[in-house]
Amino acid sequence: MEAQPTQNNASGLPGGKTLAAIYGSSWFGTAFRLGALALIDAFAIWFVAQLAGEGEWILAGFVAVVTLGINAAYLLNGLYPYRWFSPGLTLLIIMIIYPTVFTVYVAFTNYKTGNNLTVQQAETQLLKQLYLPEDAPTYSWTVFRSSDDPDTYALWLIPTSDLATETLFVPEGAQFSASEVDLGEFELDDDGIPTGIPGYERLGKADIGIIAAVLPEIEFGESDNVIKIKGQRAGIFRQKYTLNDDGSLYDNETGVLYKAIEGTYTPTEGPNMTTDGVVLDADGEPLDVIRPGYYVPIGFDNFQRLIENERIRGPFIRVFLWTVAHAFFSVLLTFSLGLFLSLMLNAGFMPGRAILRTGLLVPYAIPAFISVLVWKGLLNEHLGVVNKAVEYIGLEGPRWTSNQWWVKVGILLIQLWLGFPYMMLITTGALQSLPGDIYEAAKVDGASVWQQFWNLTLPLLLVAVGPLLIASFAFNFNNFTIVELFNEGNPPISPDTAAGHSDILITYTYQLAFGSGRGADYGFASTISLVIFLMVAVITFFNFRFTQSWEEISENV
Amino acid sequence: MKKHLTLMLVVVMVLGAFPMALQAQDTPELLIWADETRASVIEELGASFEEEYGVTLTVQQLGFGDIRDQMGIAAPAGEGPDVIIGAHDWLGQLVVDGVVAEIDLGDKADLFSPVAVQAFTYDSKLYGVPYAVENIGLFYNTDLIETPPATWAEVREMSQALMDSGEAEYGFIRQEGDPYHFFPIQTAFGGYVFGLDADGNYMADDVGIDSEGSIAALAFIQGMVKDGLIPAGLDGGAAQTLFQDGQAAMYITGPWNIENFVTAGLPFAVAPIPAMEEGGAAGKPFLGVQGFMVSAFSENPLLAELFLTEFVASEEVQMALYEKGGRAPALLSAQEQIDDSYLAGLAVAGAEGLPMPAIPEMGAVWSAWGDAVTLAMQDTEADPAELFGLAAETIRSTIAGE
Repeated sequence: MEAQPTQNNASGLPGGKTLAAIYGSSWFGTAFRLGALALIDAFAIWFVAQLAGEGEWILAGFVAVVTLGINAAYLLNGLYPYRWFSPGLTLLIIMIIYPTVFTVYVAFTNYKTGNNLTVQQAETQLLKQLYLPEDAPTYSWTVFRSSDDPDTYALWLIPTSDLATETLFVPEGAQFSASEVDLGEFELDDDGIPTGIPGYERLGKADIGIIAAVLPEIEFGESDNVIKIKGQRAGIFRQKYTLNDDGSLYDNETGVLYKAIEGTYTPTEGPNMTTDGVVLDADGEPLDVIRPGYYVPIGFDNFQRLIENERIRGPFIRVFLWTVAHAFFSVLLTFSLGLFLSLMLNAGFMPGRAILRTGLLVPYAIPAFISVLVWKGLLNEHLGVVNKAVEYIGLEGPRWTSNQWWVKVGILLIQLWLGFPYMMLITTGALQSLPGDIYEAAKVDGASVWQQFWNLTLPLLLVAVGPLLIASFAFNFNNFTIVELFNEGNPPISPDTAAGHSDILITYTYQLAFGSGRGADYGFASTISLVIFLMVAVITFFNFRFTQSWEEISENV
Repeated sequence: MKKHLTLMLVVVMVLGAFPMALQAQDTPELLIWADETRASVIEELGASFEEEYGVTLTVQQLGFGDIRDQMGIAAPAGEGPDVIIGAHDWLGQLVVDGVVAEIDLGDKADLFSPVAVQAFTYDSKLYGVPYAVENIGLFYNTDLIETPPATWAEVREMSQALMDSGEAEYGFIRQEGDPYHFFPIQTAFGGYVFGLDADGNYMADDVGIDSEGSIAALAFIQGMVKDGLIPAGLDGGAAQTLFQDGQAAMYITGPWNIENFVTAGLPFAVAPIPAMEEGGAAGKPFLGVQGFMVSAFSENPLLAELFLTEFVASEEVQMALYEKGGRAPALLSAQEQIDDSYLAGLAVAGAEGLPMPAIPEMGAVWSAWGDAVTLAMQDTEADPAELFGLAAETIRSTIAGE
């Protein structure tokens, strides 16, 4: 032990060996590495087994692949550099790639309210359900524990319905009427419950708290008349559904067979049926499906719905146009103002430039969340400062939230406020890196200031900041915060569509998926996200092609 | 060497913690999701239940609305709570998603306001223990109005008189859209949203948004906007401010605003929603009921249910929840102890109220219905019959699953 550190020092850094070599050669390093790897593997195996057990095959696969990757990186010398990358790569896979793959998968399923469980979960939930057969009595219960075997319990049952009159004492496997029980020296308390029974001990609330998790599982009484506890009552509760091998459920109470059609248990056969196969309940009404259901892949159904449903497709083009216009004008306006300000601040003649430049960055430093809400207040049609001022001079204030055009102006105004400092920042940097000599040459050639700006400054600037403008465009394409916070996509277009006049694609998606249908529809929302992703990808691709042409200009300068 | 020793120590400590974690499981634990207001009550009063049943209560604080959204995701993943707090109109979604479990109140059901228990019943099964009942009513400024209006014609006359005399900027005001606050006006004129069957359950196939009474109510409000009696373009916040500042005399709102108005020193009282005409029935507001529910994924459902029936259903807890939340308790014995003229006024206004429908399709109902009300108030030339017709058609086709 004592010699180890000296050895390490001797063969350590001064000898020109790398840090890895130290750990690689030290017994402790190797042991620690293998130990840690073993721990990770043990955890991963447990995790994968759990996930597989719950039917989460995709996530289980990802965890397995990531774990194999980590093992390879630490065991194979050839993959040595990846050891340092593995934490980052692991996070990338778990937090970026897995959600993306999952979204694509969900887009092809019917994952939504009513179908949001896995097969196993839905079956477990439904098999847990109990029913009380007609004319079966219910009782209130008190638990007793056997003195001989602390894992055996008995119930003292007092009838709570008119169907039974007799108080019962039921240990596991037997049943007595209360009169048969020898109460010995013990007395009944005010509620008619013995304070103790020979061979048994009455359990208090604290004991019930501890065994509450197992109590509903215990079968009391004789085997053909099993009594179970369900909440405050006990009785001959029976299992409501039986699971068949083909995954269908048989309702033991009504005799109806439910088949899982696209993950929804739908009645297909029963004692009361119409001639065309509709299953009826005892009152002659058509039977409903039973919930919960589970989610299954449904192919291109979600995409088909997006294309074919008039209610959804109708406003899609309209919303798309405003989305593009919103992103385009946001970038154009913020860039124009930002460039103007940075040109002003760059020109030597402005006094107090440093203070001004700092002050102008303030809107950028305040979280958009807060700014948007402040603007929402300022632009309030009745109480907002803006309209109060306009009304003061005798004009009618614009209807910022209820007129379809003004709401758009309002959003662009907020965008301008939030976005110009960023544009000012990036253009200031780019302006300062422009070569001075070309301006000398331009002056010699007799170019005016205006010509210098259009022919030199702007093209050179666009080469530098072009990619940032595209990024800004893509960001604003999906700028959920501003649109949703300002007016929630309102004013409405018509009662028969979920879209509003100021909705952009991403807020419209949100409305469709969560706001205006049958609960939440994750499958359909994922489908629209995919479509939006493709749109942004296409637009970005063409934008990059466009900026390449600017680069050609810069090469000619 | 030192570094190695430290590392070894860490490993030993981590390994040592495993048996401790396993041991800790012996005390049963209940995880509860509650919003800020309710969480503090459970934390303060929960100790008695913890002691009695030998359990540990852990309260996680979430935004009220987040509880519903997170429940559908967290519960199936095995990370959800045992007990949640929530509103009865979430039931449609929570039950269809299979994340809440049926419970049994037994004899204790009689101790609660029947409408509160009815509200937490979905498909004839009980899913929650209620703790608060709320509804909206007509709040009026007692400096400006002596006797509250009994009919909507009176509301109009009073508004006109107040504005003409310059006593107030507006008489009756309401925010644009907002179907929840429009519903009692709609019912006053004989309109409805869903028809009721003989047992008082909603019938999803009888949509009454385009019924004669509903259209009449919308036309009446549109008329008031058109004649400048109700200002256009008011949102909820602006309407509340106008009433709170005494610039408007009448406003339909709920118990959540009582504290604001009292703090602002506003002289006000609460009256039932006016009827359409003399001798007619008062407008019926929606009743919202809040309560505790048990997760279907709870590992210990019996204990969770005991928490509901023994703790939540107690007078002490119901009173504490009332004092923090300002909503009338659902337990009758707690209700009787409350002496608050505003809540009493709201109770009268809600006496004939209807539980808010809980079907999962309500998302589509609120959206289409609200859009129609908004559009009628924004464009006074729009035809109310056409707007409500379109809304009803949309709702019918969503319910039919198209």
